[in-house]
Amino acid sequence: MTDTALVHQKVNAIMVSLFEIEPEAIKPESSIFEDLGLDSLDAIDLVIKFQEVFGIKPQSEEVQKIRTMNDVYDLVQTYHNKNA
Amino acid sequence: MTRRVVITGVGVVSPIGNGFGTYMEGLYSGRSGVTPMTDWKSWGLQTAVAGRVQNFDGQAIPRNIRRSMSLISQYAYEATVQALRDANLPQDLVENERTGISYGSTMGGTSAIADYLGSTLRENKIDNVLSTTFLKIMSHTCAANLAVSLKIPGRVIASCTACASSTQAIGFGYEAIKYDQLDRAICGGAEELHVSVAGVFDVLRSTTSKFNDTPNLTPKPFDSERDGIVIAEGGGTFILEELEAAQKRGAKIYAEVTGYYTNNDATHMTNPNREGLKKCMDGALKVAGLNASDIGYVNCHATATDIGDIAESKAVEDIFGSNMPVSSLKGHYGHMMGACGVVESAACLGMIMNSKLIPTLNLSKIDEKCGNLDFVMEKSRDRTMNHILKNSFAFGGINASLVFSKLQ
Repeated sequence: MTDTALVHQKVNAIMVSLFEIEPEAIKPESSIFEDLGLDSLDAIDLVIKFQEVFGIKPQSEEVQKIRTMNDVYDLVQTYHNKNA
Repeated sequence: MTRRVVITGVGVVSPIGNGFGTYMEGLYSGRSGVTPMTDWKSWGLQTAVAGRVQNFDGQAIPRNIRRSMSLISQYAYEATVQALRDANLPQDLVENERTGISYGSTMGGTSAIADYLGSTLRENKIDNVLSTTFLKIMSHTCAANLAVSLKIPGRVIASCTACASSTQAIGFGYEAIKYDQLDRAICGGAEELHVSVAGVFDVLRSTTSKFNDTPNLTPKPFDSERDGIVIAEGGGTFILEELEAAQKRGAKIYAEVTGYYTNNDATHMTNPNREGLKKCMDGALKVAGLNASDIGYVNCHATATDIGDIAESKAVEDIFGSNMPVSSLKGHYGHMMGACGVVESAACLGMIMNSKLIPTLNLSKIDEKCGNLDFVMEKSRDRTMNHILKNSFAFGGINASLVFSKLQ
């Protein structure tokens, strides 16, 4: 599995376990708010889980820009690459 | 000019069954909800029994509202959904500025408190604390979660007075409607079981410990062999409405709340005071405009502690005399603390409607040190009543009494 695929898999696993979202509902273009039903509190908890799972701590302004699952993957990948 | 207040909906989550009908059936059939808690021994507790809620599926609550709910708020939510359904309250009256919440518990969600303190204190950092954690542990977690999840925009009263919480919650809801601050009030309380809470009573040497191998024989309120409290969990909700509005919409009416009084012993943090208890019951009678002889039955707080049962039974005798029928429902499932007032009040409604008293389970030999009363024991008893008085008492000297009356 590529590094990118592994990141996607782990992020999706967080979405399923933390927010009880059906795995098949998670698509790269899905809006985490409109399509997946998250809100601002959920977004905070998502980032808290990133810290636990990936060891990263994104800045608030970066988190506020997140709209889609692709944004989520990119954010994690960016930090992941920085730390690599 | 004050207004009359009636109960139009009831919801119950309890160790002897969920739903008002199942709960009443359990009480009349003498079912015990006390079960072993063997893992508590490793914590150094003397008590190893508890009244646990069975067959409860919190996962059925939608995730977006459950995320801020510890088990305590989930019990509150389930009981309230039951009560609203029972009351058949139209949605426009639920989501209404004149509908409020009056709901209590001893404290916030204890499992969430333990998780929060455990992770933060063990690691000296808050990195893994989720945003919803505080919403589960704050003192008004039940009331706030109900208000937001059920979209109830009126006033929120959170009565966090330990074992008197839900009796006060009904009382404050009653007063809010009586004095025209609300038209409807969702009232009650909840509690979730946790070793840390049982430990508090264990430290005080107030828990039962002689019946760890025979859980269904404890607690034993008023009995000479009683040895303390069984900690329990659950939730209960009443829908209170102004009488005329309830009648106008054709609501089923369980009973009228005619009296409420609350006071403080102001003498000791944990020891009940006979004079304080008397003043509380007397106050409730005065509010109801009734004489002691009008009351047909007293539902006691009686938790099966040595001094508590004696103080209450003597105070009841002082007010009502030795012919007053009394019982405690804690023999069936233990002490639900913040939920006990409303859940036991639900049984009072059932007893008025069925004209049948529920006996104190596990009472077979009355303690001579208790007051001289007509203790209902061993089997239920037919009794037609117009008025019932219900007591709840809490640490901090807090007393609360309610009077429920058949609608005249």
